[in-house]
Amino acid sequence: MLKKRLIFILYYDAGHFYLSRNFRLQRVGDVRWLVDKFRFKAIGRFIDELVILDVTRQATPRCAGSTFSDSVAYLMRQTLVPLTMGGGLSSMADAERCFQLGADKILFNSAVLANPGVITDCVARFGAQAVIGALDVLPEAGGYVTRVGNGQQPALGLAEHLQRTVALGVGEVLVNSIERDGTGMGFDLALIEHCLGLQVPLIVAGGAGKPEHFGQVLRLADVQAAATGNLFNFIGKGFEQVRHFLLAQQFPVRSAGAPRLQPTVTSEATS
Amino acid sequence: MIAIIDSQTGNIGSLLNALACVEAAAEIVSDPAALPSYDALVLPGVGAFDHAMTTLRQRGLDMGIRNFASTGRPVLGICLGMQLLCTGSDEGECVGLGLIDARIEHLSAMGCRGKVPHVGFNDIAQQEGDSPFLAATAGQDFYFVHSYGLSEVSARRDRELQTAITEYEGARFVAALQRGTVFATQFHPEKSGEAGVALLQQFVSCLTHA
Repeated sequence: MLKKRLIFILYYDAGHFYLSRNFRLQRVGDVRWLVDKFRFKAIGRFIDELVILDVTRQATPRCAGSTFSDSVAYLMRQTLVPLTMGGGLSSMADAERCFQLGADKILFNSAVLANPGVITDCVARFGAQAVIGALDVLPEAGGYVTRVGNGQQPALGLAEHLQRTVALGVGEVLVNSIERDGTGMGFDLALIEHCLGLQVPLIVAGGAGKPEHFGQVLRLADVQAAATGNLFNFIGKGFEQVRHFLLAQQFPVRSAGAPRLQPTVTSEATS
Repeated sequence: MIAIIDSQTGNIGSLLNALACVEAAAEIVSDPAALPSYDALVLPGVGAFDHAMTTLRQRGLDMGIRNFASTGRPVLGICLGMQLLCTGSDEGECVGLGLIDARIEHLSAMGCRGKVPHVGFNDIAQQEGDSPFLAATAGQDFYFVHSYGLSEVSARRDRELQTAITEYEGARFVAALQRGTVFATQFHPEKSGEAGVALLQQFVSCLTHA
């Protein structure tokens, strides 16, 4: 049986990783900080995929430069997990660079509206399974609307944006709640209700703060994966606790290999 | 020394890391003339069938891989690499390498009722035969990310083909196979943690016993 997935999203800009809350970014540490605080050597037992998003606000090429490639290579030497790269990707050259750096999949966000041809070209060249379309969503007037450009610019109604994304032939859709992002308040279940019935796998993000939150969305037949970029709530043994919670509740998730859940240690203080 | 074919679109770094875990020396190779000096060959791959096949052909690697396989040295295809070992794919027009006499189909053509692509960790539903390589898949979860595959029905037509089968929403397809010295996985062992490393260990042990 296909297992539900637990995905860790990392926000990166110019040598550092960031905490995102409602799409406002706070710098937390470099790749060595990350590997140390999240026990990356063991993290592959507890997460199913890793996503690295380059969230630079500059108009520079994304997922580029030696610091970025060194950081990715260092991370991927610690653990054998599937890797997605994205954040501002807008050209075939961006996509090629991501795959050369070791991505299994690439994620497009604003390009769904600004540059849809690049996405269809990538689907043709790399296959649908290698391309994720991502939407950033806000509640508005009793419904939901999307935003592009790191959540800054108004875009479309949710239904139309979803339809356009799937029509480009992407292999998966990731829906992120700007309102819940980094808050730890739980996923926006009403938003997810609006995203059911897609023909491709659905990844939900935005709001995870504790193991129960993952259970609330992974119990939905139409949700294939739940993602979090909430750096502080899942520091240390956070993902291990999520996986053991889901296994104990008999969710269909991959077992954690060696089942050693040690007593909870309070999160180490961070700068 | 293992040759990893340079697929030019790929997570070759993870493959090198995973092979390093089993202390197997490997190099990335893009020149077919260099292949005869290697002990084994790994064909990875991300991408669409035709693009990958065309890229292999342009560099003469299609003949290089076939010649290498004909010497009886072990070959391992991973994900799209497994599909390229077959005769062709419904995903494209190109003729495959033909080391496995079967054609790749879309999951929906095998009766899949679920969402495609099939993405994530899945287990092995059935495994038969005496292959230690395939036996290493039993009871383990492996990471899949694909829309096309080799159906169990197609694989059964070749009696020398040993398989491990995975099931997804009504479709049954080959997760891993062995036919003589040709090995392949639809999943990514290099993305499947310790279970994947254990499987690569089995492949590598064919070299030392050769």
